[in-house]
Amino acid sequence: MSVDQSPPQTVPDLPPQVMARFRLVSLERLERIDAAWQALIAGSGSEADGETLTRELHTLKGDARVLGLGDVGMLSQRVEDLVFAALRRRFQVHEDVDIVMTMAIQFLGMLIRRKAGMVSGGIDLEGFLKQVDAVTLEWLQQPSSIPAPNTGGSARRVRTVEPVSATPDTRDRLASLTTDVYLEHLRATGATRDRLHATFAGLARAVEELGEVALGPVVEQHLAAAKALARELGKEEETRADTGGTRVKERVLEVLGVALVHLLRNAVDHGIEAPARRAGKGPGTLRVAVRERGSEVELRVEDDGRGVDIAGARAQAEAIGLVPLGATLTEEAIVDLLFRDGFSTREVPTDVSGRGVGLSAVRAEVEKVGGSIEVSTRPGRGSRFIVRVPLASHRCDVHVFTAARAPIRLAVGAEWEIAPSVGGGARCLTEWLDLPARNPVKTPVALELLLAGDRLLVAAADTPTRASAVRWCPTASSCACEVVRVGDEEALLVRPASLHERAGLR
Amino acid sequence: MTEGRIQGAFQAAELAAEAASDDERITVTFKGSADTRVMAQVNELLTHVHDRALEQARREVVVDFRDLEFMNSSCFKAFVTWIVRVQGLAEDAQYKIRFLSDRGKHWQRRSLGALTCFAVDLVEVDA
Repeated sequence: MSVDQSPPQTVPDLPPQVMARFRLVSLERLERIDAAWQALIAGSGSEADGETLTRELHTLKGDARVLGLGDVGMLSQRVEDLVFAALRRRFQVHEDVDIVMTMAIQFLGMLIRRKAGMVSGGIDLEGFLKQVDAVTLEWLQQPSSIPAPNTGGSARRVRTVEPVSATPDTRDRLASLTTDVYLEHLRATGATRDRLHATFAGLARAVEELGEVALGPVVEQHLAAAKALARELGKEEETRADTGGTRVKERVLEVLGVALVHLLRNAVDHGIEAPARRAGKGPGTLRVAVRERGSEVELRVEDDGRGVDIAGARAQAEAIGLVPLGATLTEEAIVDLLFRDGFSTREVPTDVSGRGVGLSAVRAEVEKVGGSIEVSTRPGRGSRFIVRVPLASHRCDVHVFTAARAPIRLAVGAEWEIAPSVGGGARCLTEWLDLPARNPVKTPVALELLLAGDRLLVAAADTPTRASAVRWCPTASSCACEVVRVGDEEALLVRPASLHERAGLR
Repeated sequence: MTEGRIQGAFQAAELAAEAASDDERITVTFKGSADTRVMAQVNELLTHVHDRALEQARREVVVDFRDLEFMNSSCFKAFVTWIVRVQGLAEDAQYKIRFLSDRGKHWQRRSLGALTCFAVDLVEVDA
């Protein structure tokens, strides 16, 4: 086992938002690790549980390294060693191993929950690591035919997490109030109307920022960790970051964080060569660029190292039976093998990489949110990974039309079916919203809105068109309306079902 | 009342557990074997013990494992949770937890050794 023996230190003074997010995400990871472990040793776990276990642990270890949490990283490494030993024995583990693993998960939770500036008073990490080592060693020296204990399911723990900046409920309430300001602006006239609109725009931006994090400092932090890792490995490296001031939602940050941890570790460990092997190339270069492109955020991680060893990867895949000997494979297909769980071009894993977990973890995390990852590589010139993640809730499809009683652009979700109506009784949606009539059209278009049993007759000034709208100030689905942008114009997205309930109409 | 039995004692599956307090300390005794079937009762008993220790401002709780043949990981979690709870108290409200163990039982040496590391200033193991 190769482990950093530096003594545990106080929790570093990191930006509170970054630490809070790390705690939240890591405690969730620990819950998944615990559940997967319990299922696997009880014999009810699946292959997916094994993958979850190794990926989550690997990512936790990487995150801890990035944030400089040596104690969490050190213990994660020991737990990972234990898990891989268990994996080799198909989770036929001795009770001692189960107890020490269970305690290690709890120990990790305790270390993660510690606040900035706290010292490790009363906690004997070194002693605990010795206990883990002793149990692991003892276990590995025993024959591997120990029957799997049936210890039953695990009790769910109550998770204690701190809010990052505002809870989703708070954000929803603020977004709803901000939308009320927009409605007031529609009711007002003259300078008051303009002032209220400016207030709405400011509030909408502030609400949006509540759930967003600037990527710049996060990327810098990951690059600093990569540089430190390069030094540990005796490599020289320059880093460059270009995030263009991009801010992303927390969920997107989480996915990009996982990608950065593994892609940078891989680049440093596999990509950038040792100085002696970089003849004429100078120090290695790692570049990270982030850009918002339409409804996606794109992360590029590039290095100018050796590139993927295509022949080596193929040979390794053949050696472990992943592909048949001599099979015809394109270079693209071989590179794709790098994302397979358990596949690594390195024959002997180190505590940095080589277990075939990292890239598979990235792809799993990215695909979970509907994103994608691609890689291009050139022998001796380096590799480039591009991760694309959708900006959640950024856009929605709508029908857009002008209200019959006022020159206000309205929208309803595209899930509503809209048909012309010949009957009477159509009302303008603005009536339900208590918006005043201004320049009503003389001959409105009557529309029938239909959705799963809901039916509404609506009066419009024109025929609806289908469009993609940008959600300017997203509100909860229970809120009657929301402000969106369709092209250059703004529109009020109305949710007829909520409106119905609010007005007591059914 | 400062002495007497503490709520939560039980005899179920292969485990008997009881707790009592005297003027100085609370003593919890486990006999038999503890597995997932008694996990909830172990949790409950330790919660009662913790509450009573705070109520009576006891400085020490003794946990007698000498007649405990085995305890599985699910039940052990209850002890970790308990220790972390005590650790989270203000320093003047904290109490010590002393385990009486049987060194001849290998699993006790291992498990209690690891458990001590959670709070070396609060947890002691007597062999």
